[in-house]
Amino acid sequence: MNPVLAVVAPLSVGFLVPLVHIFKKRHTGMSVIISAGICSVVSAVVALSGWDGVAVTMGGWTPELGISLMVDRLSGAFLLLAATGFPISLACSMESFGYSPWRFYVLFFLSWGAVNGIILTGDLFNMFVFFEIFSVAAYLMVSYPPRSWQAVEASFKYLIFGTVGAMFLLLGIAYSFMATGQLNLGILSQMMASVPPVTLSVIGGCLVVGLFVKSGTAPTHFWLPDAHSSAQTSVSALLSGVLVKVSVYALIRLSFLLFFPVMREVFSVILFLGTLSVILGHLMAFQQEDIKRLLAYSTVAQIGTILIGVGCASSFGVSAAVYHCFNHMTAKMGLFLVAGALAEDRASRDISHMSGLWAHRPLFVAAFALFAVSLAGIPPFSGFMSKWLLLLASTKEGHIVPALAIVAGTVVSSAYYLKVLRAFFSPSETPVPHRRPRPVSGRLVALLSVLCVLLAAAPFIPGASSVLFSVGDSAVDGASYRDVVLGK
Amino acid sequence: MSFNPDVLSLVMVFLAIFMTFCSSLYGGRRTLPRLVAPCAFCLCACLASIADDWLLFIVFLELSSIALVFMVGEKDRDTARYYLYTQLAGGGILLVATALGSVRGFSIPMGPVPEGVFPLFVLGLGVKAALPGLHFWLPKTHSQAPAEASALLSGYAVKMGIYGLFRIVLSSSTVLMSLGALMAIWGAVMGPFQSDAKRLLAYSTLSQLGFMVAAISTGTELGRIAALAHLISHALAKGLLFFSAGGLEKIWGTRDLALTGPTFRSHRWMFFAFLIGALSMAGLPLSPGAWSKGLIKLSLEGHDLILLALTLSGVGTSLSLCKMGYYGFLKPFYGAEKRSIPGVVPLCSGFSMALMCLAILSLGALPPFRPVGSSLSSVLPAMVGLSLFVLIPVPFRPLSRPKDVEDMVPCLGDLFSRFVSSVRKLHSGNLVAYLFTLVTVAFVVLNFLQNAMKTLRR
Amino acid sequence: MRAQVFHRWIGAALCLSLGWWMWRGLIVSADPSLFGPAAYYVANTASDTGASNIVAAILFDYRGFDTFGEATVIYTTVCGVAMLFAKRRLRRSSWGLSPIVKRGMGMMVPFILVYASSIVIMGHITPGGGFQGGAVFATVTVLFCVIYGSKFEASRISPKVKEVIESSGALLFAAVGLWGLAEGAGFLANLDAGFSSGPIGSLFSGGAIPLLNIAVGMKVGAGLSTLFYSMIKILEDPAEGPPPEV
Repeated sequence: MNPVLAVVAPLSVGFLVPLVHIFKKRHTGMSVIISAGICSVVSAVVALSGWDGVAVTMGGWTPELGISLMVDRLSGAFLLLAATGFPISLACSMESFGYSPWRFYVLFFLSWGAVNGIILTGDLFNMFVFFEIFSVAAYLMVSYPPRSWQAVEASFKYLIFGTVGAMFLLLGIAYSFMATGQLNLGILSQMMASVPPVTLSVIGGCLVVGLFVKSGTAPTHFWLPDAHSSAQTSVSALLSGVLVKVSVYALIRLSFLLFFPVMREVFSVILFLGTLSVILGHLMAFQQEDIKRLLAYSTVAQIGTILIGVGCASSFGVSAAVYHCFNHMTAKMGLFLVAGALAEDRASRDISHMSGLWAHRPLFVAAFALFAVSLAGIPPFSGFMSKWLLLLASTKEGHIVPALAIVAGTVVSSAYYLKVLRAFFSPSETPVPHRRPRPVSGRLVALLSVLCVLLAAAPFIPGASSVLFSVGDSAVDGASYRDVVLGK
Repeated sequence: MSFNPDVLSLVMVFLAIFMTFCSSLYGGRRTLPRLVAPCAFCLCACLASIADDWLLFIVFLELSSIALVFMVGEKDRDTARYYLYTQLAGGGILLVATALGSVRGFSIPMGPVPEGVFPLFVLGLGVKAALPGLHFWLPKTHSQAPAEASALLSGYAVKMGIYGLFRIVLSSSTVLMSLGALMAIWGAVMGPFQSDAKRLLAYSTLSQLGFMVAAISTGTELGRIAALAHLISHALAKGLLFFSAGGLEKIWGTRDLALTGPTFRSHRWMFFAFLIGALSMAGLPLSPGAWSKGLIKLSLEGHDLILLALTLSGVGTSLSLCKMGYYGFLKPFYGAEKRSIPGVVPLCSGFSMALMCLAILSLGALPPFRPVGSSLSSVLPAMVGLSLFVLIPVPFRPLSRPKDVEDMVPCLGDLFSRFVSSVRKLHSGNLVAYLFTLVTVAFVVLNFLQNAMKTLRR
Repeated sequence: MRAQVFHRWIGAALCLSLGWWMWRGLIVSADPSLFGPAAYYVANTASDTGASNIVAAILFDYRGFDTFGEATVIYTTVCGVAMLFAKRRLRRSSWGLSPIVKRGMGMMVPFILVYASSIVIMGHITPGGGFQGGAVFATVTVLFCVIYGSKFEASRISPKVKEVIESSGALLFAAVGLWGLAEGAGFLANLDAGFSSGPIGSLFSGGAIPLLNIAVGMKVGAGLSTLFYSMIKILEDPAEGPPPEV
């Protein structure tokens, strides 16, 4: 299937929703659900059909002149991640908001299309354009509903940081265009060797810093805890589960294509800031009293863990990082869904008010425990598997400090998750105020738990593990990327 | 990744099953959910000891620790968390060490590890086996846990660390040997000055672990056999002693030896059980402890300083056991401090203790290892200890406890929280400061990259 | 106060040094001639696309996908701003200017609309295009608000109509793209997809480029207008009553 459909389908749905709302108001909900299903299937089909590398160029031009879209294993994996995360978040928002905020769903589909665009594009400037769509949609989704001032403030902070990050990205793109006159990633990766070192370092620095800001790596993560904690449950889940991973994807793609052969120091930077994120994120999460803020800081730490895998600059490291992306998505989305539901029931996000919830919703709490244990890295759950692979990857390259940081993070994160679980299990004097039935959230949480357990088994299935490692190979192998894009 | 039991593993498996059975029996009538943790512990411990590679071993070791955390947590949540974090940290260090050691593939086979990562392995296993300095968790955990959990902790869980040392130490190592001797001395010195019965036993555990470490680090076949023998005899004896300490707690409602009284009058059988455990621990002839200590001393022939240290620690062990026996079982009440009706020990606990006694007696009578003449050698320090206790009783009165490494933990915790709150201050909510940080990061990254490229060009 | 000034100096120094590092990375080529794809565009635009405006050709043909994205950025922003102000009702905030201005404006509106349409439709032969023309269209509605009062425009053009125009513009863009895909020439293909080129410099040239310009014009014009009318919802009622009729 043509990869462009994975981008155009969600965008077109975004354009269609207002028309459906105006002319057939009754059918808005149904059409949103159906089109989400279609978009998800289209993305999955694009990912699978392009598993061995497919590239198309818009408008029938040569890759040099037009804009190329490219699917390989790395982008396929992230497409699948988005195709899983978006429908889950959509179902949750449908349950909590109903069908009336149709503009929210417009933003939702536009950001989906933009995410697919970032993942698929083979053109540096096009990636920036999609970053803009996705960022604008994300700022606005954070501020929904506009009544709560925390959400608006968080959204404003996110806007400022996102814009500064985007400026750095744009500077990097401008410098690389100035030096080479090209925007196609495949061609750029060939021409990077001929760029003067000083310019190359400016390109590398700007691109990497811009993506750090977008992905919320410490110490440029200040927007992330506010945005992820003030947003609505489904949006938080989406932000933590999918949207930050897209920036990580862009980081993997750009750093390996452009700088892998010519400037290895970029990976030292990634490794260093990844380690810093792990430490800072876990320490900050440890001190939070607000459950969603705690989860948001834990996202900072997990992004750091993923970046450690990227910073190893090896195929194995990238595979482990991608695997951890999937684990983090399932577990963190589940955690946010459960935490959001329970916080709404308790009408408070303060952990000390969270008592008595085990009696109130035992299955939700049990699922929370599963996700928390998995993310903390307790064997034999999925988080442990990916952290073990990351440990192997970083020690194979001789980096022992990041490995120790990951391990220390396990101890600290088990401490803070235990704090939350303790609050859940402790008996409460006051009854839980209200209980709204949540059939959809319940099913989503069950689905995510099943996924979490299945992911833990993935490395033991011979086929699955070889697929996983081939993802890393495709990320590192710039030559085959060029071959596919340039149609050799 | 597979399982491959050899003799050593099978001994460990057998010990795990026996100890878990006894301690569950001791715990009394249990509801089904409360049986899950001991069963899970036993299963994971068995799987860990037959694991054929280090990753699998560490994973199951961690899982068994987590199962044990639930048992410890029945009584004291804080201690359980403390135990959990230390064990996770130890396991984490082991994981990093394994990752460093596995050049290709996912793990390294069970057995000796590459030279470079040996210290890291010793560090990780040291947390599990409470090597000196890394033993900060042991006295607190052992004393605060319920008796059956303490018995499992002391009788089996710390032995998993020793088991790991069995696998990596195949040649003579002076450093490790002196560490073992230091451990033995340290436990023996600290033990007699404790006023908490289970803390006292915990320090005695420390000193006996020192014996095992010293024996293993000789690297000879005899040393390994001796250590294994001591591992078994100590597990049985210490389990029994912890059970009787738990009995004391049930009867008097406290573990403080200053407050316990003449248990001997009401629970005569328990005193005899205690006596069997204590004598085996002190190394009376015809007890398993005598055989194993004799073997250890035989294996350490030639290392005079170590032998001297072990003999001295025998004195300390005997002193602390005398203290527990006297203050816990024999001391009459004087005047006003008379307590009302003592509590009772459930029947099943008695059965469990009887089972342990039987095991110790049969092992003492029919030792499966070669009996040696030097099994008498530990009688002397035991007698010295007893006479010291009788002659100079004053310093051993249960009044206070001396400081140890674990008292540094709150200070470290303070430092940690101060550091953490300074990290928190960075998140002030001031947008200008945040942007300032961002620009600084960009500046540093750019600077670093340009300098790196410059050096590259040269 | 002193500390704040100090911090400002440090910030300025930091930004300047960052700028200095970036300045060093600039490449100023001694040869002013174009290279890479840019040179190709200059040489071959006319024959490749049939448009005489190279910028329009790059925007809507060679890199049409980028423009699709850019227009979507505006669409997203409009939708989001409308969402932020969705709960408020549009209140009267002004009564407009004097009757002379109103009459004068009435005479000018047709001309402005023609001007805007010409910018949109002739985007491929003259400077201009959908973005610029759309902005002029939006200016008309802004002028309505200033001159005839804030309620005037809403009484003539319903917000829903603007919504429909905006969304159909976006869909038209996507449809043109998908037409190319259906013809087998790739997404947003122009001449290859069967759009006729026409004589260079005439109104009906450039294949699909005018069509795309119209789509973007619809999107931008209706979008900016919606943006404006969403944002003036926060204005308060005017204190005085309506001006006297003449």
